[in-house]
Amino acid sequence: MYHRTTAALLSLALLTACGSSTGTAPSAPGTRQAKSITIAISSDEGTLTPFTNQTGYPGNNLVKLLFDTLVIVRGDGVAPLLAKEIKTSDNKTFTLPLRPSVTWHDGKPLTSDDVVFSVDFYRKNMEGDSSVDVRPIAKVSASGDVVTMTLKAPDPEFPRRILADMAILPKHLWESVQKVSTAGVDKAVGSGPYKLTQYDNARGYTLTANPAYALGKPKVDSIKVAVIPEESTQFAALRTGEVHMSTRIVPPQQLATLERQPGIGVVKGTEFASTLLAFNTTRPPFDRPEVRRALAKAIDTGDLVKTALLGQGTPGNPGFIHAESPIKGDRLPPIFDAEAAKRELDALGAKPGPDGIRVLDGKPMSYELLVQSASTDRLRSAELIRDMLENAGVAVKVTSLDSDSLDAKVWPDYDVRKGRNYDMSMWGWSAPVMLSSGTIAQLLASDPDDGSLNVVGFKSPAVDETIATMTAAPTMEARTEAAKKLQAQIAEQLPFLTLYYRNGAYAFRKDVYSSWTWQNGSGALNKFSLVDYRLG
Amino acid sequence: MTAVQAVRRGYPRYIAGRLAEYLSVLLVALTLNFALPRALPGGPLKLFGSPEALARLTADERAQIATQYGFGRPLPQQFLDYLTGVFTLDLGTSLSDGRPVTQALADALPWTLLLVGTSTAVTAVLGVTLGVAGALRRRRGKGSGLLGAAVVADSVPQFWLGMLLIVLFGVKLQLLPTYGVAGPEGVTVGGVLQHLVLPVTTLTVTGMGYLFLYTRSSLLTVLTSEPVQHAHARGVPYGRLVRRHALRPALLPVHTILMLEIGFLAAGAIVVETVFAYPGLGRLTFDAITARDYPLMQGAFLVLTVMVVLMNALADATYPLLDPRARTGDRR
Amino acid sequence: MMFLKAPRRNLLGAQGVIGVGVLVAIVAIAAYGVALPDEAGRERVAEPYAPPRAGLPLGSDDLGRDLLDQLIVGAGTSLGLAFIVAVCTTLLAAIIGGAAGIGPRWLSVSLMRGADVLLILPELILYILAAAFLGQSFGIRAAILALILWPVPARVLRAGVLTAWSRGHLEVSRAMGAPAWWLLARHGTYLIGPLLIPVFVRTAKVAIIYDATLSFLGLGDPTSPSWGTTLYWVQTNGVFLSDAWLWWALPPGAAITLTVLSLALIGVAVEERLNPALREAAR
Repeated sequence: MYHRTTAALLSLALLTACGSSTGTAPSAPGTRQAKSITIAISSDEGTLTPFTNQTGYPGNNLVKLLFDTLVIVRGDGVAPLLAKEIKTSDNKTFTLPLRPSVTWHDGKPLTSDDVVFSVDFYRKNMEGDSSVDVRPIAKVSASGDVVTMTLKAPDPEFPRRILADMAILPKHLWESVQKVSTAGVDKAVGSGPYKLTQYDNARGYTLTANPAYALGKPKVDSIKVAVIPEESTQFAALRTGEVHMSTRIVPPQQLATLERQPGIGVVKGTEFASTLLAFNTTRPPFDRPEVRRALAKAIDTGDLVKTALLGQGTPGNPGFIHAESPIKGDRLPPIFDAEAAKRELDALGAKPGPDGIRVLDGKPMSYELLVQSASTDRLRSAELIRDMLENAGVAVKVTSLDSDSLDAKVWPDYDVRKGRNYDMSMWGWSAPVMLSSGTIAQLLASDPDDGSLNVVGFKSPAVDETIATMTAAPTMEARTEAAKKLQAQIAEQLPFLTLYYRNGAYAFRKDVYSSWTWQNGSGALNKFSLVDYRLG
Repeated sequence: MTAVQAVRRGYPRYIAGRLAEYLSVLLVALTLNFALPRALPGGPLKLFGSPEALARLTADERAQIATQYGFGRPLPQQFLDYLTGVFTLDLGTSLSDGRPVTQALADALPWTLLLVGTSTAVTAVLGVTLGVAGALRRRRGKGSGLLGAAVVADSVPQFWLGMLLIVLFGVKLQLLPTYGVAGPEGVTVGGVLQHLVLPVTTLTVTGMGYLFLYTRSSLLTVLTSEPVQHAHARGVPYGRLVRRHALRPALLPVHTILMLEIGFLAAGAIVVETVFAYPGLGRLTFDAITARDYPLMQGAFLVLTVMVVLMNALADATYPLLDPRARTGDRR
Repeated sequence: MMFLKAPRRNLLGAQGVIGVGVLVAIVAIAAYGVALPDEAGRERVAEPYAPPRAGLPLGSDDLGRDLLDQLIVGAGTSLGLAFIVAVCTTLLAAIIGGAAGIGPRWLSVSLMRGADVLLILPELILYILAAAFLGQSFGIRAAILALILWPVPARVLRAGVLTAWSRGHLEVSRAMGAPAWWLLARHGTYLIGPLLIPVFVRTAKVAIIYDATLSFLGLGDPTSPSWGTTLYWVQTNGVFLSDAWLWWALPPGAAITLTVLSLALIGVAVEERLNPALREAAR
C-alpha cells in the first residue's frame, strides 16, 4: 500500500508543478527594464519608517527609497537633492534653499517647516536605526523656502555625515507620534521616488513608483521586497528567477558559479565594512603595545583574504582607514612578518615552555578568541588565526558565540563604560564608521564620552591629542592630514588589527533588470539604481 | 458493572484532579517563560538603533528608552504586568516592530498550522501505516526494506534535505517555488499549495522514521502478548485479530507521541521555516529570541505552553477511553 | 501465521550481526581518530576545494584541510555524543517513565508534570544560555541534549507501562501481592524494552544531527570537528551545486546513516531477544 501512497504524493507534486509560474517572463529584448522586480532581504524591516527599520543595510537603503534627504551622496562627494544647493563659507553655517513643488506621497507640499520639524524631531527621538544624531546642529531656522542650519563647531563632513543621512519627515503626519518605535505603515509616507503600498509578514513589502516625483523618474513600476532569511535559499531563488536581486554579498564560494550562469550579473565595488581582531587592551598582556604588535605580525591578513574570502576582499590597512574612504587616508603596507613576530616575542622574554607554548611573565601565552557563530568568514578566519598564532608559539582557543552573547562580553549594553570581558575577539564595524573622521575618533578616544566605540578600552595621550586636532580641524584637508597621522599611530600601537574589508558583490538577474549601479557606502541598493535623476 | 460504566462514573473526578495539576504546570511554565528570556545575554536595547548610535546615548537617554518601552521597569512590576496580561489576553507590544503581540502571533499562526498541521497529518498516516506494515511483515524483505528506508530518511538533517529539495526541484528542474508562501500574483489557493510541497515533504520525510519505529515496536509487543496469542489460539482470523485485539493497545504509546506532536505544532518548524522563508511561528519565535524581544518571546512561549499542556491533558484524559484497563494504574 | 513464522537463526540473527559488524567498524574508526595527532584535519595540507587525489582520498575543504581526516576525527565526537546522550536519555526515560507508570500517584503526578515543564522550556534559549555561561564543551552539550530529549520518551514509556500493567498475568501477580518494582524488573524488560529501542536509536540520531542544526541556526560551534559540523560547512559552501558533494557531502551523510542504521538493526535483534514470544518463535 505504501507504493500507492508514494505514487499519490508524487503525482500531487507533479500536478502542482504544472500550474507553476516560477520565473518571470522576460521583458522586450534589449531593454532589460522590467516593470516589476523582486529583491530579497534577510530579515523583516518593520514598517520602513526612519525609526522602525531594523538594520542599517539594507533597511536604511529601503527607507531612503521612500524618504528623501536634503543632499545625496553621489560618487565621491554629495549632490543636492531636496535642497537646491548647499551654501557655506565657514563649514559652520549652512544655507539650504529647497527645491520648489516637491510633494509628499499624500499630495501635500513639502515645506521648510517640515525640515525644521524633522531636525527637532530627531533631537527628541534618538532611537531608531535610521535616526540621526543631530546634536552637532546648534540652531535651525526657516524663512520662506530657505533653511539655515548653524553648527556648534565647523564640520566639513556635515553634509555627508548628517544631511545625506537625515530623512525629512512630513510634519503633518509625525507631529502626533509619541512612541516612534510603534510608528505604523501610515507613517511611512515620505517624498521619495517610491511609495510603500503593501506590507505584511507573509509576503514582505511592495514599493510602488511615485508618479509625482519631481526630482526624477522611477525606473520600475513596483519593487517587491521578499524576506528570505537563509543565504542559500536567496541565491537559489535568484537562480530560479523568483528573485531578481539579492541584497546579501555573494558568498565567495558561489561567486564564480553565479557569474557563469547566463542571465545573472554581479555588480561589484568597494565596501567600507571592516573586520578586525580586537585585543582587550585593558587586560594583560594586551595592555602592552609590544605584545599586540608581535601578535599582529604573526597574522597574515593576505592569507585570510585569499583563503577565507577566496580573494573577495582587501587586506586590512594596519591604520584601519580604508584608502578609498572619503577621509582619504594613506595606503599603509601590511605588517605581517612571521619571523619578526617570533623574534619580538623572544625579545619580550616569552620563551617556549615544555609544551611549545611561550611563557610570558610567568604565564603561558594561551588565550581565548571569541567569534560570531553566524558569520562563516569570521569563523574560518578565527581558525586560521589560531593556526597562525600557534605557529608563533601562542595557544588560542576559538570560542564561537551567538552575536548577542559575544556583544555582551565585548561591548555590554553598547556602553564602553561598562567594561569588557574577553582576551581577543573577532569584530567588525559597519560601513558608516569608515565614512567620517568623527566616528573613527570614537574608536580610539580614551574618554568614554568621546570614545563611545572604543570597545578595546584603548588609552593613549598621544592618540587623544591627534584626535583632538582632527575633530577640531575646520577643513577637510586638515582633517585628512590629522587622519594620516592617526593611521600611523594605530599601525604602531595596534589596539586592534584590521584584518580585511570584504568586497561588495551583489548578484542580480540581468535578463530582468540590469540598471544596478554601485555607490560607495551604500552598495547596489541605492536611489541611482532605481531612479533616473534630473538634479541639474 | 462493566468496565466502561466504571470509567464513565469516575470520569468527572478524574478530570477535576487533573485540572489542578495542569494549572500548576502552567504557572511554573509562565514563570520560566518570563525569566528565561531576561536571563539571555544582551537585551532589547539594540532594537532601538544601530550599535554605533546607541553607543552615543547617555545613561539618562538609555533609561528613558528602557522605561518608555517597558523593559527597564522593575522586574516584579514587569512580572505582574505580564501575568495580568496573560489573563486578560493583552500580551503587550512587540519591541521590534511595534505590532501588538497577539496580532503578530495571529498573523503567523495560520501559516504554521497549515505547514506543520499538514505535515503532522501526513507523517502520522504514513508513519503509523508503514509501522504496522513493518511489524506485520517483519520477517519479510519488505519489512526490512521499510525499516532501512525509515532509518535512512530519518537520519538526514532537515536543513540539508530542504536545501537538497530546493536545488533539485527548484533550481535544476524548475518545477516548484523555493521560498515563501505565495508568488508575485498574491495569495491564491494554488500558489499556497505549490509553496507547501517542498517544506511539507521535508518535514514528513524527516519525521516519519520516529513514528514508524515506535508503531512497529509497540505493535510487535502486543502481537506476541498472551491475550492476542490466546485469541489466535482460539482461531480468531488473523486480520480481525490485528484490528480488534492488537491495534488499539499498540497505538497507545503512538497516541501519546501524536498528541505531543500536535501540541508542538505551536512551536512551528524553525529549521524548515528558515530554509523555505516560511512566515510561521517557528521563525517568529526565533527572530524574537535573537532580537531579545521579551513581549514577543513571552507571547510565543505562552501559545506553545498552552498548546502542549492542553494536548498532554487531552492525551492523559483519553487513555482510559482508548484502553479502559490503563486507568487502574492511576487509581492506586 | 506469518507473525509466528519461525526464522532459522539464533542469537542476533543476520540483521543483528550486520548491525554489530558495521557499528564495530565505525567505533574502530572513531578510536583511530582519537589516536590521531591534534593537527589531523586541522592542518592545511592542500589548496582549498582540492578534489580527491592520491594521498588525499576525499579531497580538501574550503581551507584546504584533509576531509578524510576530518571525517575520522569527527567520528569520535559524533559517536561519543550519540552514545552518551542516547544512554542518558534512554535511562532517564526508562526510570522516570517506569516510575511514573507504576509508582504511587503523587510520584507519577510530580514526575509527569515535571516532564511537562521541561517539554515546554524553549530549547534554543537553553542552548544560548548554556553556551554563554557554561561554554560549549562536550559534557555540557551532552547534558543539555539529554535534559531536553528525555521528557517525550518518558511519557511514551509511561503509556507503555500503563498498558503492560493491565495485562492479565501481571494483574494477577499484583493481586497476589507481588511488589511493583519486582514485577517491573521481572517482566518489564520484554514489555518496555521494545519501546526503549526506538528511543535509543532516535536519540543517537538527534544528538549527531543537532551539531549541524545548531550551527545552521547560528547558535552552534562550527569550529569543533564532527560529522554535523562538516554537514554545516557543506551547506554554507554550496557544495550541492557542484561535483564536490560526492566526496564532501556524501561521506559524513553516509556515516551518520550507517551509524543510525546499525543501531536500528541491533535494536531489532535485541528486541527479538527480549520478547519471549518472538524468541520462542525463533527457536
